[in-house]
Amino acid sequence: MSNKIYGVLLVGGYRSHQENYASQFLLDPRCRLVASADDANAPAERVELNQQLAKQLDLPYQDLETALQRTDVDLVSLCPEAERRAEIAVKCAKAGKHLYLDKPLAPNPRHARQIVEVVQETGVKNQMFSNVYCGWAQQAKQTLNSRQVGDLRAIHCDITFAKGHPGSAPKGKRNESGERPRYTFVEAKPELFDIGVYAVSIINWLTQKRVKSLVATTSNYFFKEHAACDVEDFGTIVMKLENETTASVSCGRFGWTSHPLSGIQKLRLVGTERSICFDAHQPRLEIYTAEPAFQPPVPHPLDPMGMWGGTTVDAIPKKTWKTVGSADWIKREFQAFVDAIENDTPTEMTAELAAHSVEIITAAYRSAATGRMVELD
Amino acid sequence: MEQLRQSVSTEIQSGRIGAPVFLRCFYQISKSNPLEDAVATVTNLADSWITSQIEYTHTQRDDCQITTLLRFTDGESALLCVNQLDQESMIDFHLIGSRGTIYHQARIPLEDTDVK
Repeated sequence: MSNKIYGVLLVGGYRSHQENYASQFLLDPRCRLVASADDANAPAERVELNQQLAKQLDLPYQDLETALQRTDVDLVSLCPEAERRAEIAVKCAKAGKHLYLDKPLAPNPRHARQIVEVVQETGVKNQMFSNVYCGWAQQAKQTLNSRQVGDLRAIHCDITFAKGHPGSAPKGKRNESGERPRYTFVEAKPELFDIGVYAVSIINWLTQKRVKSLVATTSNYFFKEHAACDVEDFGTIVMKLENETTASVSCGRFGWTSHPLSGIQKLRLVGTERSICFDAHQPRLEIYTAEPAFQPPVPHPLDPMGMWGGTTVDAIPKKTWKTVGSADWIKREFQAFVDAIENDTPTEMTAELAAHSVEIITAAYRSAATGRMVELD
Repeated sequence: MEQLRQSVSTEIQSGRIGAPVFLRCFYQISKSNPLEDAVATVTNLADSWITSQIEYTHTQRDDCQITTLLRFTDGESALLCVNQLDQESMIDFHLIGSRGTIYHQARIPLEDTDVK
């Protein structure tokens, strides 16, 4: 093991996942945060949020071009808005910096391809944030590899976040356009993309098979904010993989009090011999006390869905379920990326794998719009 | 199964979860039971808990499992997965409503599978 300290450049600030990612890189003794930066043409509001986090972390804030010339920057933690992700990733990779990429990789397959091409061209290490280091995902991988289920016939994944104040969505069917020209809103996110990417990526990673066809739905079941932004709060996909395995996904955001903890996070493998379920909240303790019950936070005007840690600090935490032995997966997620750089080994959730998730989800929107099966190339 | 259907229906009628909008159901049956009958059982559950009509069905099947996506006329949906294995019969579902969710997981006696 070398004694090298890796310099980390942050792109992104408050009200982005950089709130979490920066603190994870800070925890790794092999890493040092050196600066925060963004494109010169970044939106003014975003620059302000970037600068606020930089100030909090006592980091200089620089123009991206300048920061990428620094020889003490080895890797970039990239959390710009999804719409700007490819452009910035390309600049960073061309400067020879390794890329830790926020999810989803990009808002469309064209942008995703740009990232895949530049990492292939430059050879920089790349990893998209995902759930692959969660205990349940690792157990599913081991189970699949050990053939405990026999020949895999189906794989099902449900990821639904218990956040937001539900019950306000207008009644009626969603009119799906099939396109997401805009991804980033203050109030809401397209959840088939934003949360579905976890489920789709896990299926891609576990099976290492491409999807050949799919059928999908998108819905506005819970929140007026999503409806107002014309993005879905819930979605489903049924897929056929290239080896004829069936895969299905349900995903979305369904409200603070619709789950005892953070939300549904389950995966089921169905094989010719057995069916096995992997649940992020198993094993767990269930604790009932005289303490005050969980109360959802008052909706923050700049974060009504409770997407960011920095704007939900006053929430009373849920304490009834305590999952046993799951706390360090996120640490492993970030350590694994630095390990890959240090040892020159492959990462698990590569840009290439993540790009297939983008392809699948954008195809799912087309299916939801037409009500028909969509074939992928 | 009929008792289960009725218990859930009672909770729906109480209004606690709001309007049911999505059912995810895994139903595992033994090899002595036909897959099609089990699919009919869980489809009937979905149809009895979700108030509008089924307007679209997409099914993928093979030798030991069937996965069905249902879309309803008012936009509700259901993902139903039935598998036939040499394992104990069980049902695992969550029924999501516009304001809350019902969770259930249990072993099912083999003789108790019909919901009409």
